[in-house]
Amino acid sequence: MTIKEKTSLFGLNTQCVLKVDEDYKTLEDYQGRVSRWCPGCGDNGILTAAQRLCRDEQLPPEKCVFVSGIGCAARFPHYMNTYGFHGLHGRALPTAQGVKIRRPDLHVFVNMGDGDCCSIGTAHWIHAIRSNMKLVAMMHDNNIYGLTKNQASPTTPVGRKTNTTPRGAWLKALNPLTVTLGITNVSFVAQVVEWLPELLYDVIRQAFHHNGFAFIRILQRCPHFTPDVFASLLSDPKKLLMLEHADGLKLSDTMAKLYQTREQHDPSNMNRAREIAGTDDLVPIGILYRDENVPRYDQITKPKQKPTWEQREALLNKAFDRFGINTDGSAAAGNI
Amino acid sequence: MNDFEAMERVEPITIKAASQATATVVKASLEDKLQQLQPGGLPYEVAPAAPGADPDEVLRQLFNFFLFGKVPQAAGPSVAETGAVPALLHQYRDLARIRHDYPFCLHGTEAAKAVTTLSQIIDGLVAGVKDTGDAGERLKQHIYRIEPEIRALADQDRAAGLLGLWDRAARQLLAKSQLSKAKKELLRDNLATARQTLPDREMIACAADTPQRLLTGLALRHWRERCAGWRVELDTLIQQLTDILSTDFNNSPASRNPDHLRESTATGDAIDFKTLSSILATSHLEHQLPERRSQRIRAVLDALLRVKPLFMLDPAAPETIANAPFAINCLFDNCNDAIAEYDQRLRLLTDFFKAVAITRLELENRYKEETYDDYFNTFDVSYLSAQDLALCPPVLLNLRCSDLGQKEGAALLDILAADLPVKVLIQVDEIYVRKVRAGQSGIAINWPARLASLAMSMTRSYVLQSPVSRLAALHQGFLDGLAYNGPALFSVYVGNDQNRASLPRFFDAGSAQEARVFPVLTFNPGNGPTLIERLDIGNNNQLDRDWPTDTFRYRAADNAEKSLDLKFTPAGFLLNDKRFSDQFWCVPQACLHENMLPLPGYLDLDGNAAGDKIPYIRAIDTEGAIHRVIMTRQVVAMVRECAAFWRHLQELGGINNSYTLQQVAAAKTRLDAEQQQALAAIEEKYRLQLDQDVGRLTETIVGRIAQQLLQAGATPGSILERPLPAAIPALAPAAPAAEAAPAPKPAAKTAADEDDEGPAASLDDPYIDTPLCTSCNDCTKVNSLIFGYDGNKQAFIKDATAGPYKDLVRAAEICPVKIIHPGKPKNPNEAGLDDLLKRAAPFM
Repeated sequence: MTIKEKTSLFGLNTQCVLKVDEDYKTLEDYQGRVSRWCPGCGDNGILTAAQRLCRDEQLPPEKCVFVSGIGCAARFPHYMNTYGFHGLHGRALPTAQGVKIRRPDLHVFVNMGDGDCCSIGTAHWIHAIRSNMKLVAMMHDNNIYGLTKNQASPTTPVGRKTNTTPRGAWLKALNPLTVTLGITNVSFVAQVVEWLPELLYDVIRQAFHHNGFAFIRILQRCPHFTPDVFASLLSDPKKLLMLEHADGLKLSDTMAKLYQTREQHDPSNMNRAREIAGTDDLVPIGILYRDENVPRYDQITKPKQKPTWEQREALLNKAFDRFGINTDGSAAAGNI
Repeated sequence: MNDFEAMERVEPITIKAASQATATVVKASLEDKLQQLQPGGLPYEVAPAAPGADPDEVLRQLFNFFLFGKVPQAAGPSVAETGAVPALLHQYRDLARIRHDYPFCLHGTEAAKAVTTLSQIIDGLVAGVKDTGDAGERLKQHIYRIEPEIRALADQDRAAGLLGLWDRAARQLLAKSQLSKAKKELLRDNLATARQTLPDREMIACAADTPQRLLTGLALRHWRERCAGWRVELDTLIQQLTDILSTDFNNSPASRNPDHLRESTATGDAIDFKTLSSILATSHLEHQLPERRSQRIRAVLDALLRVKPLFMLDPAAPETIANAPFAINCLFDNCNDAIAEYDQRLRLLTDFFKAVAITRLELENRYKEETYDDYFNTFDVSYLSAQDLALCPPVLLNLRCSDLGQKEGAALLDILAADLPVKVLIQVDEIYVRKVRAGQSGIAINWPARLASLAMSMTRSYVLQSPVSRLAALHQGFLDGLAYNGPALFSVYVGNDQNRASLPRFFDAGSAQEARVFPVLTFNPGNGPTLIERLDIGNNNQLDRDWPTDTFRYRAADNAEKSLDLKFTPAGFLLNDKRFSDQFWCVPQACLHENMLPLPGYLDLDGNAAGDKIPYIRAIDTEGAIHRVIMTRQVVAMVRECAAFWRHLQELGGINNSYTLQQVAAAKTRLDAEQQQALAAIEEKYRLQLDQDVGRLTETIVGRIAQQLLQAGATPGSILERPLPAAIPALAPAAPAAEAAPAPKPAAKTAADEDDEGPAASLDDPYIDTPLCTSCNDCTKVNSLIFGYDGNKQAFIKDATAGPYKDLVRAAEICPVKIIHPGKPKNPNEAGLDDLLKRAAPFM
């Protein structure tokens, strides 16, 4: 007689159809208004990737929220048929965090430009990473302030002439990857380019499934103001360093043929991630760092034991008694 | 916990379509499933009430119930009123949502593959969907969506066809759907599309008559397979006998008769048959068969023809079943009729083999009347070999517990003790019954529930014991029992609608197995002479334990989420039986006492320690509140009896066998002692060696110190600079670990592999590298008739001829990722072609 492996009670295996929704949502179900981005704008590709993610995961549209600040990228919520919040410049992250705290059941995505995130929104950016709430933050980095027509942003390359730097940008560009990797509690950092839709979708999907704050820097072309800023990357695939790993990107055979500069990079290796992030000559594509075990804000702040209704009532009564007057006119016990 | 957090915890698992793959059901871990299945959230502990009555008085009340079954006046709601079920079963209240083996259908002619469950049919439909785009994913989702509806309907309507169930489920689904009109139409169309490929089969739900339907269906198929070899041979024998008779007739004067000649030709009146007959009458007649031989051949031919329908049974053709001399799938309801039927079949079988033997002799022309007449005149069942007897179709006997009175029970035991191929199906509807002895009401085992153990002890019959919930065990057990050349007993627990409280039959039957009250076992003497070959209890959960354990998650009174490992005992099984509801008391919060402890822990205590303790089990009512339910001592006694029965079965099955454990312990003790002795000897040997070395070293060191002290000009440290004798070997440094070789990268696909993928498209036609499209809308804005978006919003050539070649070239030029290839122009008369071709050249 052979002892069969342990099964659950009643011989039921773990594959169960529990609840299936008859409403199958297609890409069209997630499309909001027609986009008004410039033809050739990289935001279109990011929009498509986000819609594909929603479709493939069959996310209920009423459970999704796209939060943005100000900029071209910030038009994103208008073009998604979900809930959205088009907020103030640089304040996308605190808004998104507020949504997540109050409604942890919602899928929250954040769309920021490079100015929104790395300039006016820097403080929020740093502390959002520290809080490690389950959000997907996409920074659409086109190296320029596009909506306001050609001002230098923190990621504008040195020497680039813009309206605010007519003689060329003085300062070396900020590196969002090294900044992010240096912040306490960082749990997911990735970089990808919008003109490789397969990789873009893969990275966004992995960010969605990450158990914490997922930051993705998406290099995105602006056909109007910075059409050439990524030209060298487009023309020379060797400049893109593909970070492959079983826990990271998995390149298809076609992509592997095109992009020969590859490295097996374990996303759990922080030291190597920082080294890769700091390189100037190659642009890393893939997941630089991932740690699923970093505690999230809601896990840290969740009380081990929630007060019962009776305890809450007692606390409220105690608070009211500090100011309360009894019916006979005397002060309530505990009055201040 | 606010509503939103509750919602997060019970977020349902939805079908997810992978981006380019077929839809898959999300495989949830058991923990997720447990969580997801909680109706409305985790069960919760009620906050403890303020202490009211005197604890001693409370304990007295508890003991009053435990010992005498007396419930105090302020007892609170009864178990039935709360609808409480054992804690581990609470999550299974809604059976329709859970994939399990019911309903199923019987089909085809192969017995081993005759059972197909609804889930398998649905999976087959989904696997048949070829479209990998949105339309295909939606179709799969809709197919999965209708499955729980069909299951719920099948439970209510036991004899429904699959197509009828599908139609009703579809109507139900559409009626309650909240979809928009357009999406409802899609749902309707998809369900209609899927329906077209459905076979029309009768679905069998988990019901009291399920074992009978399964057994009779399998018996037909099994018989058909068993006599497959005989079908061809029988046809051949019949044909040959017919030929002999036909030839004999043709040699007879009757064959020259004008009427016969007219009938045997198709010429109508064109021929003068009278004249022909007279001509033929003058021709030479071959020797005819002797009359006796002719009669003999006719008799055996009749015998074979009588039996033939039995070998031509086809489960898919009911008329073949009706034509058979006896019904293979007929279920008899008493032993005497079954035995009589067996005798009749045996007679027919005897006649059949006798006829076959005679036929073979006749065909070879070896039948000698003086030799064989007497032999065949006395031919009876004793002349048949074991192989011949094995061909006798088994008789199916169906008995209920209530049928097993003294007489019938004794007849049944006779059958099991003899070698009659009677397959007995016992429907056990009650495992425990109320018995009154000496004025005391108690719980006793219903002896038919232990019939399997009794039959096993007879060692001659095949035995299967299983609840009706274990379809796979039933299927295989029935097949093995039918194949066994002897009696078989199938003891199946089906439960009783009148006794069952709130759980569906599937879980009532399943809980009988899990609680070890009615475990699954098979006993097949045909497998070999030893118990280890014959007995199999491997289909039970967690064999090495008294009770199976499962994790129970709940919310404690302080709102903390906790989990417990709970054991499922027979008390939990009995809680679902209305007849014994008075044996349980849902203790109100005010009556909880510190002397209450869980039943498994109570059973582990010895008599003295258990003296002041009250055992309880956890149960959950329909609101999700957790109750502690205590039971009477009769229930505890029943649980102990069940534990003893299970341990007995374990030992027989080779689990925790006390003889083996004893031998193992003795061997271990012996080996330990030997090992200790060996260690002591080694220690002694090295201690002596060590003592000697220490002595020698001491002598050497002391000698040197003395020497140095005696010599003049001794410098500090010189003593210590002398090397020590090499009595103690220096440890060699560990060799550095070799660097692991890097894993080889998988070989990249070669160009040859790509060539094997099929012929490349013609480069004269325009094309787009669609997977690289970034959805920027540039090309669609140039000409939306030529360029379109696919399901992933990536561009492709919709219709290359829908616009001029210049639009293709323009789109190629402005595409930001340069993935549009205009190809060659279709219209040679288009204006400016030379310039366009130059511009298109970089994109070719």
